[in-house]
Amino acid sequence: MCWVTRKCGKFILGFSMLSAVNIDASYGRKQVLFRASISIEEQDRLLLVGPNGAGKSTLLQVLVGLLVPSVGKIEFSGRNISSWSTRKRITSGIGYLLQSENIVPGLSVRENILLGGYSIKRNVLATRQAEILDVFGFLKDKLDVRAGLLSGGERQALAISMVLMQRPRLLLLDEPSAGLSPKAASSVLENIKHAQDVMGVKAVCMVEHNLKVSLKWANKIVVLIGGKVAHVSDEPGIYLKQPQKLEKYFFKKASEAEV
Amino acid sequence: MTLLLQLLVNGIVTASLYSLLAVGFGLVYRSMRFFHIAFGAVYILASYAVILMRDTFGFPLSVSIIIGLTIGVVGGVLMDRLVYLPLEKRSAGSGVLLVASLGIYILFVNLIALIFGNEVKILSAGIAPSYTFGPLIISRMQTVQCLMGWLLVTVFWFIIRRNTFMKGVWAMGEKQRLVRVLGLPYEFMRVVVFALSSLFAGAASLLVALDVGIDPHVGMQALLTGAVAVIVGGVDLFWGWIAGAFLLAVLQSLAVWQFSARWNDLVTFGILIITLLFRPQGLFAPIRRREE
Ligand SMILES: Nc1ncnc2c1ncn2[C@@H]1O[C@H](COP(=O)(O)OP(=O)(O)OP(=O)(O)O)[C@@H](O)[C@H]1O
Ligand SMILES: [Mg+2]
Repeated sequence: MCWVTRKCGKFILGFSMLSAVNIDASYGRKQVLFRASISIEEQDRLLLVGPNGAGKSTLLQVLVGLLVPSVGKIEFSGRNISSWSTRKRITSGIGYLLQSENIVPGLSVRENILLGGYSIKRNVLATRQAEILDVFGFLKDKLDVRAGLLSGGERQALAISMVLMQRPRLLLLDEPSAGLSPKAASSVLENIKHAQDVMGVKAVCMVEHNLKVSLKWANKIVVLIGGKVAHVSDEPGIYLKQPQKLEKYFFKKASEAEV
Repeated sequence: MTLLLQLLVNGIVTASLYSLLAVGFGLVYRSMRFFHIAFGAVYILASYAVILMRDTFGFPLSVSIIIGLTIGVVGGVLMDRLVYLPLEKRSAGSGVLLVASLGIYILFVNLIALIFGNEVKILSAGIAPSYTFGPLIISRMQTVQCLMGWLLVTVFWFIIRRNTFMKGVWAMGEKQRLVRVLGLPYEFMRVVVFALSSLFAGAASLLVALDVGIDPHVGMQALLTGAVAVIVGGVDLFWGWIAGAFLLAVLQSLAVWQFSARWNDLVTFGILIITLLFRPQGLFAPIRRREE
C-alpha cells in the first residue's frame, strides 16, 4: 500500500511495512497517546526517543496489540491488523522485546529459548536454537541455569534471543540495552545489526535513551513527547554532532510541540 | 505402633485426594493469580451431574462418571469464558473477580440444594469390601482413591516437566504480557487451565462421593483444603503443593487419633496461619533474587 507521510514539512512517498495512523490510547481514564503516527519501512533502523513517560512503550504495546487504541488504524504489510490478536500479529512476523519482565526467571535458559520458539515449526527448532547460540555464544554454557540467576546483560541477551527465535521480519525493541555497561550496550547493537543482516529481520524500531551509541546505528529518528510525535527525521547523524538540536525537542512542552 | 502405621496409610490415601484438590486449585491460582472460589462449585457440580445421569437418566455408573466429569470441565471453562475473561477484558480489579467467583459458588450451591436437597446423596450402595495386610486394613475404595489420585498427579507432573505449552501456562502467572508477546495462545491457555483444574476437582469429588457420598456444602471444604495445601507448600513449586497436601493429610489424621475429627479444620487453619506468619512464601519455596 502506498501512502503519504509528512516528514519535516516534506512529503515523501513510501511503501511502509508497518504504519500506525492517528493513535489515541489510554490506560483507564488516563490518555497517554494523542494522535500519534509512526511508519516503519523496509531497511529502516528507526530510533524512537523521548523523555520518560512520553508513551514510547505504550506506542509499541499498541503496535503488538497488548493495548487496544481508542482511535487509530494499524497496518502491517498492507493489511489492516487493528483487530488482530497479539498472537496473530507475532506469528505474522512482528517480534517485540518488552522493556522489563522479558524472561521467565523460574525456567532454565534453554526452556526460555524454547518458549520463544513456541510458535515455529518443530523441525526448525533445533536449527534456530543453534543459530541463536552462535550469536549469543555465552548462553551455551548456561543452558541449564535458572534464568533468574543471570546477570542483567545476560538476561537482556536471552530476552533478545527469545524474540529472534521466531525470525520476525519486523523487530520492535524497548530499551534493549537498559542498565547495561557501554560496552555491553554496543555489543547488543552489534547483535541487532547482525540479526538484520543474516536473520531476515527487515526493519527494526528501537526505543533507546543512550543516544550516543544509538544515533550512530539509526537511519531514522522519531521524537515522542507527551504522547505526540514532535519530530521525525531521516538524518539522525546530524544530531550526533549537534545533540542540542535534539534536546530542544525534549524541553519543549507537549502543547507547544509541532505535530 | 500399628495404629500409627494405620494412620500413616490413611494419611497417604487422604493426601492423594488433597493433592488432586491442590493441583486443581493451584493451577488457576498460579497461572492466573486468581483465587478461584467457584472451584468449590465445580467440585460439587461434577458429582451431582453423575448422580443426575445415573438416577434420573438411568445411565450405568461408568458412563455417568464420564458425562459427569465432562459437565464439570465444561462448567469450569464456561465460568472463565462467561465471567472471568469478560471481567478481565474490562480490566476489573481482583476484588471484583473474587466477588464474582463467590457469587458463582453460592449460585451453584443453592441451585443444587434446591434440586437435590440438602441431605447427603450416596453414589455407591452397600459396604465396600476391604483388604487386610497383616494388622493394616484398607478398603477397596481407599485403594482406588490412592491409586487414581497419585496416578493423575504423577502423569500431570510429567506433562508439565516435558511440555513447552505447559511451561508457558506455568509462566503465565507472573509474566502474562511476556507469554502473549512470545506468540503463545493466551486465551486457549486459559481454557486448558480451567479444563484441567475442573478435571482435578471432579476427580477428587467423585473419589470421595463414591466412598462417603456428597452434600451441596462440601465444596467450600474442598476449596479450602486445596488452597491451604498450595499456600502452605508454596505457590511457585509444583511439588510444594503435593508436599502441602501431604502435610495437611498426615497432621489431620494425627489430630483425629489424638483428639477427634472435629479438630480437622483447626489443624488446617492452624497450619495456614503459622505458614503465613513465619514463611508467607510457603514452607518449601526457594530463595530468590530480589528482582524476580
Ligand atoms: N499499565 C499502566 N497503567 C496506567 N498507567 C500507565 C501504565 N503503563 C504506563 N502508564 C503511564 O503512561 C505513561 C506513558 O508510559 P510509557 O511506559 O509508555 O512511557 P515511556 O515513554 O516508555 O517511558 P520510559 O522511557 O520511562 O520507559 C506514563 O505516564 C505512565 O505512568
Ligand atoms: Mg518505556
